[in-house]
Amino acid sequence: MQTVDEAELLARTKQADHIAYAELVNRYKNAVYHHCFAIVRDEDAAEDITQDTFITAYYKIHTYNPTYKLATWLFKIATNKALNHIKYNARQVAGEDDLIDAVASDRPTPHKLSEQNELHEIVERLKPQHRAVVSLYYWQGMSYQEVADTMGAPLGSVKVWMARAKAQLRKELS
Amino acid sequence: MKDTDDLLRRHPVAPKRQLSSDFTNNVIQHIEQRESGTLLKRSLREVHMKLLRLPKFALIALVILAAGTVTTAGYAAVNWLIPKITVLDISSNNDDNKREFLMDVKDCGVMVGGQTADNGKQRYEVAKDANLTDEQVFKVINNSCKYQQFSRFDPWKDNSMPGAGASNITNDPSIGTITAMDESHVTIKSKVYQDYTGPDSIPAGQPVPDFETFVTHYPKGKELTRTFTLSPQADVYADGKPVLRSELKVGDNVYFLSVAKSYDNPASFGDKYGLPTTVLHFVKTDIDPTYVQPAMMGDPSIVNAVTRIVGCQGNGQYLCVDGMKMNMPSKMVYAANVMQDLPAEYSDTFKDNKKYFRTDIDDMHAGDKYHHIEGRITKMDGTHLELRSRGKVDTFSVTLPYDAVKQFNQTAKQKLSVDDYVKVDFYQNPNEGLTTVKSTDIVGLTLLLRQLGDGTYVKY
Repeated sequence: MQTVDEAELLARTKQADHIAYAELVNRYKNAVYHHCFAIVRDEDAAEDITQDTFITAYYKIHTYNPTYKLATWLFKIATNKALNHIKYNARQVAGEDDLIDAVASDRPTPHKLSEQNELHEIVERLKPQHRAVVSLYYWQGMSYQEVADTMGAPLGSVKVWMARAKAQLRKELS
Repeated sequence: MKDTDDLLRRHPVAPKRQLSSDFTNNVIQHIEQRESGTLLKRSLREVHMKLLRLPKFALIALVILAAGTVTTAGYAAVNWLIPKITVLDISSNNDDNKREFLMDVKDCGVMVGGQTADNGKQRYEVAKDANLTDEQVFKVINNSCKYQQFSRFDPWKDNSMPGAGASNITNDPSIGTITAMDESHVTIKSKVYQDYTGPDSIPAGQPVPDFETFVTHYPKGKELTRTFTLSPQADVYADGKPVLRSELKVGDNVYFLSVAKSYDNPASFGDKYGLPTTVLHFVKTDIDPTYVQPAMMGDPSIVNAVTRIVGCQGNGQYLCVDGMKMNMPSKMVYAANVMQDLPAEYSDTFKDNKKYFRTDIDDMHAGDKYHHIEGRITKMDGTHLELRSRGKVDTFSVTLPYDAVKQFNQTAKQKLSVDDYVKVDFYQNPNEGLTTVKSTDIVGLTLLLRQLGDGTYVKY
């Protein structure tokens, strides 16, 4: 049970109360970290992005619109940062699309992998944007509308991305 | 065929390694360091080197497509009330030995996001060594009230501003003086509101220069004379209402809201680069930026010397202090919800690899009240300290779960000692005395600080 409600913690954070903000960080850090990892697939990078997400959120706390869930806002910041991270690192190697396509085509089809490993290998080959949508919907328990709010994209686009992600999963699993 | 929905739900992708135990502490330390200005000391060269690794983004001026007239028929109008502040009393020596101002305030402060403006009697106190005249103190309070009214623009910035909601559109609210203007451009001398990196200038009517060639670092607080594109729809306000643009003149002091397309600097998470290029709103104002929070615009030695006295949270009969806007600098000595290193002499009682972290503090106190209390330390001995509250004067007995003060003092610049001004966050069991804070009740112990004009901090 959480005896200090989120609204109070937010109000105190806006008054630069670090202890209140630490409590908010504790409440959301693992979920944000797991989501970042689902996108970037690198634990160190995911932790850096998670840390950066909470630092950015602290300084932008006055821009948070309380009509949305705090989690949606935090995941929006985290998703942007994680996708930017991938874009930047992809550019360092080749071009973003080149890298993603190369990853998708060069990997051997997994054999004799456990069901979970097989699934995770395929998820890793999804486009980062599709991985983000899958993570938010399936693993963070968001609705499609919340995913759209988080991604800053129209609901229709989110549904298209999800359909493409699932189509790729079905194709590679079959 | 396998059911992908079922597979995805059953097998979330998860990291094998959990977040480091110091994660929350690192976040808070980073924030504290940034607030203390240490991160602003990054060299210009470092910024240049990082930018040279970036792809060639050009700074793209925000294009405002709407062709409005040079009247008030621009963006959706925002109206607000002008605060009125009256001095009722000035006492030279309050219960914390400070000069105190009793003011009658009307329509002071923010009125958005469910918050209400301050009305009625308010108390403010002045740091002993600040050397401010009564008139200067009045200016700080008056200007703070007026400046906070500009938060009226926040919902508009979030929802209706061109590009609102896009992560790469940032706004920059500042106060400055118009030095030149024509139909399509305005030149304003002002301080930079937040850190930016961008071209030195964008010549009027010229393509945006190459980012890598023209890059310059503008730290917040730096005074610049910048020429902005004037949005055709830009509104002009005076006295809380829209007025004709023709009322805006060279020499006017204005609060102005400008926007820019900005980019996350991938080489340094959290940094932005880009420069505000287009002005969207003007408010004619008599506010002198020297006396305005946030302190990056004003003079910290002046604006941080004045604090508001308010009832403590959950303890209205006791008094606490509050920054004039949001900057009440502090240093965390102990926090139950942040992983901390334990002193060497502690062994098995609390430790997890010599760390202390109460994950159960909220659960333990389900139904208990959450309080703040502030005051000066009167006694300190190991894990036990006493402080004298303000307002209703009581002696609070506080017990820490380990010697967090000793641990804090090993590394802190400002060591905690008797007579320091601290804030204590704690839970209270209704069946126990309020003035006894047990080691299982305390959520946090914070040393309150004040920022000086040179960016350094002293104890409050």
